[in-house]
Amino acid sequence: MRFFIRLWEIIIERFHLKEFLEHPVPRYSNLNPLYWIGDVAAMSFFILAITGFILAWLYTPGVSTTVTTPPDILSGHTTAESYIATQSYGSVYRIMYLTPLGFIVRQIHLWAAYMMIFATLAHFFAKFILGSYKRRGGGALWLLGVLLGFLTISQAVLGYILPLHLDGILALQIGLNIFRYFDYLGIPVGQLTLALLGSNFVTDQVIKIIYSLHILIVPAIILVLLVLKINGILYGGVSPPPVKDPAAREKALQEKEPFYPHRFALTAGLLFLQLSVLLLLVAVFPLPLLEPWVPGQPVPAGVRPPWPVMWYYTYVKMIDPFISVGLPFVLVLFALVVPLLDRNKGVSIEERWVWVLIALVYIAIIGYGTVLGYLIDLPKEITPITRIAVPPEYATPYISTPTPVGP
Amino acid sequence: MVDENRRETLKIFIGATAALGIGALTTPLVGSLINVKEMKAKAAHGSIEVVLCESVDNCPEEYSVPIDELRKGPKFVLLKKGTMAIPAVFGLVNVGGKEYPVAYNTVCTHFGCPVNPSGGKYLIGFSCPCHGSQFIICTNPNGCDGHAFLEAYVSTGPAPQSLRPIKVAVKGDRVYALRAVI
Amino acid sequence: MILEVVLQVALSPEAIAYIVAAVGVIGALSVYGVMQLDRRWAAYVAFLFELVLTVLFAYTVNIVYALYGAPGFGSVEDIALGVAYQRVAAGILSAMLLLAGVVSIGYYIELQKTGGGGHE
Repeated sequence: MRFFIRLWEIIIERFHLKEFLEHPVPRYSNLNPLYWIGDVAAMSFFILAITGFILAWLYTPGVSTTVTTPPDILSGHTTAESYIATQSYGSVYRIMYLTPLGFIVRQIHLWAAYMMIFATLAHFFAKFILGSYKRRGGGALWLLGVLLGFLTISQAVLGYILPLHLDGILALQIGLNIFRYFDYLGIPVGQLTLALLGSNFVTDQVIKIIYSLHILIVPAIILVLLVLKINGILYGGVSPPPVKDPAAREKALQEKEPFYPHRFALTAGLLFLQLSVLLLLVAVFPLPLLEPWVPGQPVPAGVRPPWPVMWYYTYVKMIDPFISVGLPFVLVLFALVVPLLDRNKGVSIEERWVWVLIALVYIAIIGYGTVLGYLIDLPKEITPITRIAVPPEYATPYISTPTPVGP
Repeated sequence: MVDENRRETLKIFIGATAALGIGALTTPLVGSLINVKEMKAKAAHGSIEVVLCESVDNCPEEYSVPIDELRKGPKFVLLKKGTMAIPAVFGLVNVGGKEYPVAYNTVCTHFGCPVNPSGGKYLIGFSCPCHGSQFIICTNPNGCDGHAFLEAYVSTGPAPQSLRPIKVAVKGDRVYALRAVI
Repeated sequence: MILEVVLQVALSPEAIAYIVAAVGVIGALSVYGVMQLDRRWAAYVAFLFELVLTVLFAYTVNIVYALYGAPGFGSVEDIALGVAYQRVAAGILSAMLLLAGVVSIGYYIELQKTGGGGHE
């Protein structure tokens, strides 16, 4: 035992980790969840990266439908019928059911993704309540955080598309075509989609681009932004405690302890517990692989998006799409300008009650939409403000005059 | 001093981005409310025409469907051109006993879900499973209420415009797709 | 077919799950209890329980590999069995991490009480 401790001490000394690890951190931020939810999100990201490496070995992107697969185990099918699926779906099916430990790796990836999204939103909410953007350097961290939140949701959507199950293909189709709904914005958006992806329907090239985005480009950007954030916290410190009395605040800021071993042990313990909860969720509540779909097959009604974007789906259904399709942009833009609008110096909750209320409304919008999406059964039919009259040359399936084919 | 300059720059940058964002979001709304006719006509409703074959004489077989097969019911074909894939449903429309061959691009004009064809042997229309839009093919040679003959217009639901067509021509016993609107 | 062959030589997934649950709960409680008395002994007790769980984990993973590698694997029941063993393996890892978490947080709490380094 003594040997391992000696080895550890040699490592942290020779790799010059001692100065880095023993820097003082204030004690008030140790057990308060508002300060460590960000760690949960970051840890989830690393779990996703590691399980993602393993899944990347085993996954094959492709739209060609040469693979036939027996039906899904978890949903209870017991017949031996097989049906046609795309190559992506076939490879995910193989990962899930025909590869040893593949099931567990995929489940960890799924649950860690849900945990990361939930932790990101909770972390955003926590920083909003604490007013973290007020201190020196806090605005930059807030900006990085909003970008990271947007990228996290993007990763979730891209990852959801990759297996090319029915929900994934529908998510892809809607993602490619939703902004073409608008009269004027729709034209450059449609042409941009075609220029970048080559098609507005799922093809091998589109899936390859989505795959590279999901495993390479967006994680690289997330990693860079995350490193910048951690660096900012390391040299700038965490947000001040939300107390009104400046003397009490100063006293709390002065009470420090070295990061290693005190805070390090706590962080390590919390991360172990987080992983333990994650694996428990994986063991007790595994998530099924959704049904496959191939272009040409009829699409059943009532397909819902996954919970991270359910709120968007609910509001687009409830409110006229003209207004509600832009909702995510409005939310992100508002999150970006909050540091510019909230200028007063107070950090306690009673001084900031207006902004705390705004934070609650913001989160309530997302929460209400998510919950309602699961409660509303029948789709509510909505009619647009305008119907676009299409000129005949763009409306009719013939060039000059139609000719009947006769018996 | 330097800090203040940085703050000002940041403020201007974020303010400009916010203004551009809000402008981009409200332009379609304002444009539709103004309802300028030339703007609408020029806007060409967001559709692009793609030429699959120049003429029906040198059109490859993969862009075609035999008419005998169409007599059994509508048929799905994934038309591929370069990097593009266009989901198409070919079918026969019954107009007073005569059969007219048609094809449509089955990407819903609302948010892009693939639509399901409806009708048994003859194609009557399409319905979108995502948000309930229904498209009906006009079977009146004189047009239906402002819609052209054989146009798949929106009868109900949130879709803003008719289903985009694929222009077909008959040669021999096959129906060929010449141009697609995506 | 594989189902019966496997169950002749190996414990069923439910049996392993109960064993793991028992070991995990007893382990967490005993580590927590010993932590109040002496932190070093708590670390040793935790290490012992981790060893037991590691053995169980290796056992379960071996069953998974044997199952998936067996000729004639592929029926729905076989796959369901493989999935069940994998879920048990995840549960074992969960118990191991729980013990590690209890030890770390116990260490932290003790550091807060003694106010300084207590490590040797």
